[in-house]
Amino acid sequence: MTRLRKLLATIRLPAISVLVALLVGAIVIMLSDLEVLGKIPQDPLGAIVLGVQRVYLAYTSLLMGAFGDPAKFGKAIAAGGDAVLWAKAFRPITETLLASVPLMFVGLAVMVSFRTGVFNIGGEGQFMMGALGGTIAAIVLGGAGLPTPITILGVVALGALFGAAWAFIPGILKARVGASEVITTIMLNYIANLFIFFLLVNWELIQREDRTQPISKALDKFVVIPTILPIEALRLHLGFIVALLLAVVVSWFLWRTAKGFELRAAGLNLPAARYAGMGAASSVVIAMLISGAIAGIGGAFEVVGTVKQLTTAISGGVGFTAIAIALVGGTRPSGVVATSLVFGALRNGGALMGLNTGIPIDLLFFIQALVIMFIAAPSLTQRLIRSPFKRRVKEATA
Amino acid sequence: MQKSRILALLAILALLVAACGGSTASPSASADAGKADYKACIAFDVGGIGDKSFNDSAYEGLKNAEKEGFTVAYSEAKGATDYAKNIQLLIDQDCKSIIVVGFSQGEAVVAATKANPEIAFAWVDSTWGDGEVPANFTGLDFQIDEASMLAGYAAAAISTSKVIATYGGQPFGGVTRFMDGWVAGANYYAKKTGTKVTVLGWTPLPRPGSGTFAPSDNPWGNKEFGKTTAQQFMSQKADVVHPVAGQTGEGTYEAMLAAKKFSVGVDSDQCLTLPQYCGTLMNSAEKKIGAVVLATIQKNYGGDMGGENLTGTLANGGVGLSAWHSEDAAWNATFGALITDALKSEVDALAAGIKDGSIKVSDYFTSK
Repeated sequence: MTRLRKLLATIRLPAISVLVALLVGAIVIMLSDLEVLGKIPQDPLGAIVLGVQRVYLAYTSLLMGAFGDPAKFGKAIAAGGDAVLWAKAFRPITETLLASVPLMFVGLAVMVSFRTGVFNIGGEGQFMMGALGGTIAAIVLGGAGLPTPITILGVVALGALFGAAWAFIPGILKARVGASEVITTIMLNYIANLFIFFLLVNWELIQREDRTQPISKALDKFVVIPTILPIEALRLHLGFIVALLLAVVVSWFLWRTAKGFELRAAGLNLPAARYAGMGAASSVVIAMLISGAIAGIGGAFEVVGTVKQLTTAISGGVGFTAIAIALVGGTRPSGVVATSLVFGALRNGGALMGLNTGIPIDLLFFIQALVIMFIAAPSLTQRLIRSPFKRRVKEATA
Repeated sequence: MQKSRILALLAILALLVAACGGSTASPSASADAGKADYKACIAFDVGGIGDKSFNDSAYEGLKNAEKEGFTVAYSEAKGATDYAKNIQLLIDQDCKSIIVVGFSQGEAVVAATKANPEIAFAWVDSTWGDGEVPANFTGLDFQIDEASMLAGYAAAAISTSKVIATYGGQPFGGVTRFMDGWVAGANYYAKKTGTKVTVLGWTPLPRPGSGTFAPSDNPWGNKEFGKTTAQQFMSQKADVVHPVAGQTGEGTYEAMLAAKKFSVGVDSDQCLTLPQYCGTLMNSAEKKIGAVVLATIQKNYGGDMGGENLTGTLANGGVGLSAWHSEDAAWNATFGALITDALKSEVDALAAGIKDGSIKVSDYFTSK
């Protein structure tokens, strides 16, 4: 019971933030609907009803897109063993899990660096470089006809190596010359993007043979990352399990090893850690290497397992969402995993919402931004929620 | 205490939801029930709707399909991770005809085409790459050289020096095809009138051809290059330039306008999208993506699911020369006297020849 209460206390602020953000999102949906706005002068009440209907449709679509449509489950059950119908029913939820995979990887990555006091905004670039490493490994090793498990190991290893190498640059710059990692990591994101563009149009090894456009070869011709569900059409793959395992490993490392303690100490109070005889500079570099490697593995799984083709759109802003996830998740691995699932659900459900209502998925990025704002200002959020009820309670007792 | 607050909040939410339950917006019924049952969909790429160009034209086509009575839907990607997911979402929403826009979505559309033989797929500005085109796939390409040949002809006609020029962003098919047509138009004019016309910037033969292109670090947004290249062409006596390099071309329009010389726009009707240059833009060689999208939906609805790489031509309206903007004062001041009714009908005659196949663009790649 106490454990449950403790859990409730930890998720209270994030949960409230998400709820309030969704409420604000609802108001924006109403106010950005021209039909609702047009109705306000003649029929304000009707406008509100219409607005609430629109919000209802939008948010139910969001939920169905993220977790599935009960009607489709009913159809699947009625038809018995029809794999196609089962796939249709289960797809929203497995796609939500799949959408959360890159978020988990990069969320964990930036979490490690945040814990060490390094504000790594370069998750995006490290993810892209990892994707590049994964692409190269898949084409070279898979092309050489090596067995699938070895190729996948190679994909993960090269992804980690490329991501770590990319993160090493800002790490060593900060440790040696004190260059702000905020600036260097953000700039390296652009460099990674343009570097990959350059390779995609100039390097025959990875560019698609019959095209002049910046796209890589189809990677599923070289290696396929195995899916983990019994229904073949559901494409949730090994990367999901690896992400969960990594969360456990990161948790163990940070809270159960001496090195992890050093990193956290550096994050809490760098001068104190230094005074206690811990290598502060090495902590920064190690944190960045771990961070980059995790993000890189995420990129490798994303490009080889999910998208199966490298383009410059491979990251799609995951690095920035990951910062939010690390913060909302309380910079704890369990929190990062949970938040990734929520954000993955938003991202995945948003597609159906956009399809049913024409509300662009950008609204969800707006909601995500609001969530971060509310998390960053906890006292504001708590007051927003608490005060009306508090007063009412007082009146009732008086 | 705390628990009761949360409960109260949940109760309010539940009330809100209950208040509006049972009401779902349904689209108005259409006269053609068959079309209303037929769902036509577009999967847009990153930066899709709202780009005022390529994607918006495709969206225009979808909206016209809706006006015709089709049920429509679209999805928008925010990153490569969405490509396959969005296409699958459209499939699960029972879309029967799915049009994919953007070359980055390559592997996703190929996989979906193979996995769903009962759904018709089309891919704008790309064609099926390897092997035989599947029966449920339509590649949508544009034979833009037919439109730019008309532009090249008119340009040769209004040129006083009889020197015209072109250049591209990057040397690949989608670009050089504009330039092929431009050369062919000039050569056709030369053959018809017996006047020698020189084209700078592109030599179609021997294949793959050779010519002037923007530096590869910034091919599509290098206005400075567009400007200096135009000035260089003018120093070689050229007085009409056709840039095929996206926004790089705006530098060219600026230079040509300042020198009171002429240019020809690319992709869309640029006197409409860049009205400040109407005084130098004779007209534009246009890809009519919206029309092609609509035609594909109609074709799929009619039962033809594909099996081919289709090409927008003058004959099917997939490409075309934009209108002469005689209603625009700046255009009139420059071109009013130059674009005579006689020239207009000559261009129309050439278009008719290309449409019925009696004139082939590739026959005029050299001046002989």
